[in-house]
Amino acid sequence: MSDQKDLDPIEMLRAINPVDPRDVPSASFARVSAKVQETIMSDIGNETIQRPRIRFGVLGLAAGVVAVLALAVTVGLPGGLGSPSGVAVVPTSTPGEPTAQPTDGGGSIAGGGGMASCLAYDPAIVPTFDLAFDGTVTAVNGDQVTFVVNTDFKGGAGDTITLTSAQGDNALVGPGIDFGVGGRYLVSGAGSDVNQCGFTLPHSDNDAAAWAAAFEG
Amino acid sequence: MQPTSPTRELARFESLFSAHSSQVLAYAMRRTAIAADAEDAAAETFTIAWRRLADVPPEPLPWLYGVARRILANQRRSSGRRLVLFERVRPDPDVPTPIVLGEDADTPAMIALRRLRPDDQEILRLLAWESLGNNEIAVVLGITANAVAIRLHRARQRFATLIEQIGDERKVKGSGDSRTHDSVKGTAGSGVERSR
Repeated sequence: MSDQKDLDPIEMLRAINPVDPRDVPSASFARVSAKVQETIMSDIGNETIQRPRIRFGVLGLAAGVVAVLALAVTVGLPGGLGSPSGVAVVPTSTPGEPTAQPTDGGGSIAGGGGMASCLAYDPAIVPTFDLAFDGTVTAVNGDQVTFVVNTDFKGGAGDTITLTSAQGDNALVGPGIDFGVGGRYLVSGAGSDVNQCGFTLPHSDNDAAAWAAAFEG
Repeated sequence: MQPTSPTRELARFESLFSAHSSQVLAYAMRRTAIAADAEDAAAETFTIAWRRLADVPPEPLPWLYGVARRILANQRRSSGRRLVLFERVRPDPDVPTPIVLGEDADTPAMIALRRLRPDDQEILRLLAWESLGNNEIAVVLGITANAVAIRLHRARQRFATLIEQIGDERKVKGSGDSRTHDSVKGTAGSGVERSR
């Protein structure tokens, strides 16, 4: 026991740390995720019910608000929990305005994967977000993704930008995006977070043109 | 200040959950004997974070630990009341249930930790297991960083003294049976195996 006197007591305690975050059982983690998700969906559903109806007519911002409310309603419905037959809720709109159509989660772009259904991707909504750019991934470090900005649509992203993106199983709302280094994406974001639910997507010329048109309009 | 929107809130919360859920769950598991209790505490912590998203600071982890700590304390008080009802035994609700895992259960450091008073236990665990600095520990415990430094200094001293004492006890009792009944069982709430 004489060697114990030579050891820093804190180091001794550190050495017997019983649970490393990296070793948290996946089943436990899944149960926590499910409980939290249930709460969020319930809260969003209740909040949406209490909100007054917002009508289009205040240009793009209103469209965005309605769109995100539709997202919230969709997520909040019982059928939206990863159910292939989730009930779609169409937001209030007036004829001639872009109408976002919720999907059943099975689409190639939008969809909730195993966690939630999402509003269908609509480029008209993109200008309502904080950030929008065409970028190429240069690094992925955990949930931090660094992009070189090829075209900045909104937000003054600069030459490079690092955003937070929920990944894979940790994604609570909508599917996480598996960014790969070298991949080119059309990225939208809120604050320092990448938007999910189809509003960040692999780059294509058609989608890039649609984004450009949305910002010009 | 920018207005919030459901999308912004969801994105922020998702980032928060993604970044810190494992740490919060591990924090709870280190302080409970039953995995389900730890899961409940972690889920409730993030429920509170979701509903009070505007209050979550830019460095959220100590804040989350502080919320989890209070939830766990409530759990212990609740389980303490159940024990009073059914076993007529009332453990101190502020004593965190010690974690006993395999061969680490009766290491001198773990025994010494269990012999410390609850405040000392928690501040040392936050330092050693959560790897927090004084300012972060202050957020968790709701005290000043200066108070943390003072408490930490004293807790380290008491902890080191206990480890030496335990070493001496083992010497006296000989190497044949260093795992004494008193050492392991004589402390509040010990001898609890984690269930997963």
